[in-house]
Amino acid sequence: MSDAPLLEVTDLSVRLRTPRGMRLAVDRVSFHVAAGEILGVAGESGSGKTLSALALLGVLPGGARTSGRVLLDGRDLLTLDKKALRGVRGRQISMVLQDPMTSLHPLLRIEVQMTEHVRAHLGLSADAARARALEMLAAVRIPDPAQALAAHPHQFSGGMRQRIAIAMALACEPRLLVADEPTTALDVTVQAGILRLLDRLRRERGVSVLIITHDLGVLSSVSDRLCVMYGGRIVEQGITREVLGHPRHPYTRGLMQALPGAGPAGVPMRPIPGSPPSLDSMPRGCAFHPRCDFARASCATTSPALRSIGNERLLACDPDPFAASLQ
Amino acid sequence: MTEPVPTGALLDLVGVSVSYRRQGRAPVNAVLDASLHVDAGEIVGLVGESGCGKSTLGRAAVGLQPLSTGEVRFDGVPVAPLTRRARPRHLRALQMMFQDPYASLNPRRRVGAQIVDAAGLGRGEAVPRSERFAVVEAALARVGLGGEIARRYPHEFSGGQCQRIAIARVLASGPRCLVADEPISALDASAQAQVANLLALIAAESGVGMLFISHDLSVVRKIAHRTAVMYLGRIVESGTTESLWRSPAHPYTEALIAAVPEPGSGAHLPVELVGDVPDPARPPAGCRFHPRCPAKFDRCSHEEPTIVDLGAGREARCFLAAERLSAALGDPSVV
Repeated sequence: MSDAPLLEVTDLSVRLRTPRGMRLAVDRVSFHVAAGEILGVAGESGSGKTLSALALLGVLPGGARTSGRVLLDGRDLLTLDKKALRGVRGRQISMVLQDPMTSLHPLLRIEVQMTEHVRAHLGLSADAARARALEMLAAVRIPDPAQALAAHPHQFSGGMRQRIAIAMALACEPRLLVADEPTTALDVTVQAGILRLLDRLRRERGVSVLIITHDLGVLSSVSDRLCVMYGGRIVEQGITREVLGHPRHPYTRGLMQALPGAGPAGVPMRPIPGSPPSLDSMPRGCAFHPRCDFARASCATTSPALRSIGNERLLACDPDPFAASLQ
Repeated sequence: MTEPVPTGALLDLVGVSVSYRRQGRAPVNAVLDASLHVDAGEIVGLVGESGCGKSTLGRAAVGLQPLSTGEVRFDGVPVAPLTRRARPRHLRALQMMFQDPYASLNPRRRVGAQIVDAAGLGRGEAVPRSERFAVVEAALARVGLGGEIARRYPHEFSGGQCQRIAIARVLASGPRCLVADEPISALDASAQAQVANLLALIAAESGVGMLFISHDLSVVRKIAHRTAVMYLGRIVESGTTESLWRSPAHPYTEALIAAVPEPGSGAHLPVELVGDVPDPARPPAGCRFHPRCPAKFDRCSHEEPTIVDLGAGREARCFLAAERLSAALGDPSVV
């Protein structure tokens, strides 16, 4: 294994066209994913977590503008032309979306959907592509893969559909799987199966995974490292166990305290007051300061820089009220 | 005797079954012989995987779904299925809340007007013009919003705010019992906690009984006094939330709890429950859970267990329930 990470994103920014003009939706986001690593991206709606992922694949909504650098194996994806990018999407990087019913074509049999891109990308014959599809369906533990190939998406449950979507994403043996809320629409029992599947894939096949979700429980069970996003920026980053065990940014801490999991029943949860900002009402300074218990006057004017606080940990908070909690 | 005869429970579901008819095929029993009650000021959680019938049972509880057998009583009075006629007065104190606040609020009416509508419905007569602002302000204040938003429209608010407006509206009608179907599932993480806390507060302060339907066990654990677990149309276990969570008697309850990923520093991969929920139109013979059950034995595949009373308000539909519970509690005297 080489030392360079598989994916290295540097200062990625995304501007969206809105009715009121261009708005900065992702603000100089940097992260990397090593081979076989699972990186989590946490955040609420509007935090820019999905847009960052879409920008990697060059599939942003119309009128959006991207800047920064996205190096996959040393090649900058943002500078590739359409044709070259098509060779990357689905081949090197593939994506799994939240709702498997909309990511699968309802009228086509699974076989058609699972072999089309394999034949296009890898140039396999129809028979070889079919064999590959069977192998992938077995890998995601679909019972009776041969029968599954002949079926249509509606014949499967939500969990099975998501497994098929993952099998499809893996069929060209991509180096990186981008999973945007892959388990949000599923029951916890099915979610557990998908999370175990992702973990197995990276161990057995060395696939890297970028998993995006608002569910910290999901991230803490599968991701090695995680980024917490708020208002288009990364506010905290580090090893999952450490970030969630000793959150240092007031927003991360707030998210952890708002979770129902910890603490006895009957004690109210402690929600973060207010709502996340929208693109049109992004606060000046630190985007979180209007909701932050620890905000100082300077937080309203200057946006804190993301700085290293040791042990692969990054933090964007100037008051840093929980500095003592991290040993 | 002007008051209705107290039955002990505010909302009482006895042996409720709901079947959906299908063209040219056998009907599906979405809910089968479910019994459940909600007391004043109590939150009862109803959990289960999608397709288990929990939403159907919720709809049946408020009369949105005709029953095939059984009875729903609110305040001792049978809940008649909703018809084209206006709802009888006494049933208006039984209200329902839905998952998507944008769909349940009228997008073309101002927030304040919708709250006034609900208040008028609860009173049985229109709210006089002079009182309207006070009614709206009071309702919004209960959910932590200011009266100044009364002139705005639902689309101007975030999902969490909209759900609070929907709660303000339902509270304005003066309910004594709420059936809330996934009221926080569509909301962001921080808004989920806000709305869940609000519902718990309403139950505690106003004595409103609540049937809280959710697939999110961790929230149910936090706010529900009692919990009922459904699987494939059957209530398979019920009891106080604390004890049910600590020592689940039914293997399905145990599997559901084990599948919840716990955030924190010592996290591990959640445990997978193998297999899918079977087609409710063709439920397995015997115990409905046996094809996925890690504890199954011969009897489970041909005989369906009945509800076993485990004492202390606990019930479970499993042959091994008593054994499993005593093992979990570490008490060898119970067989």
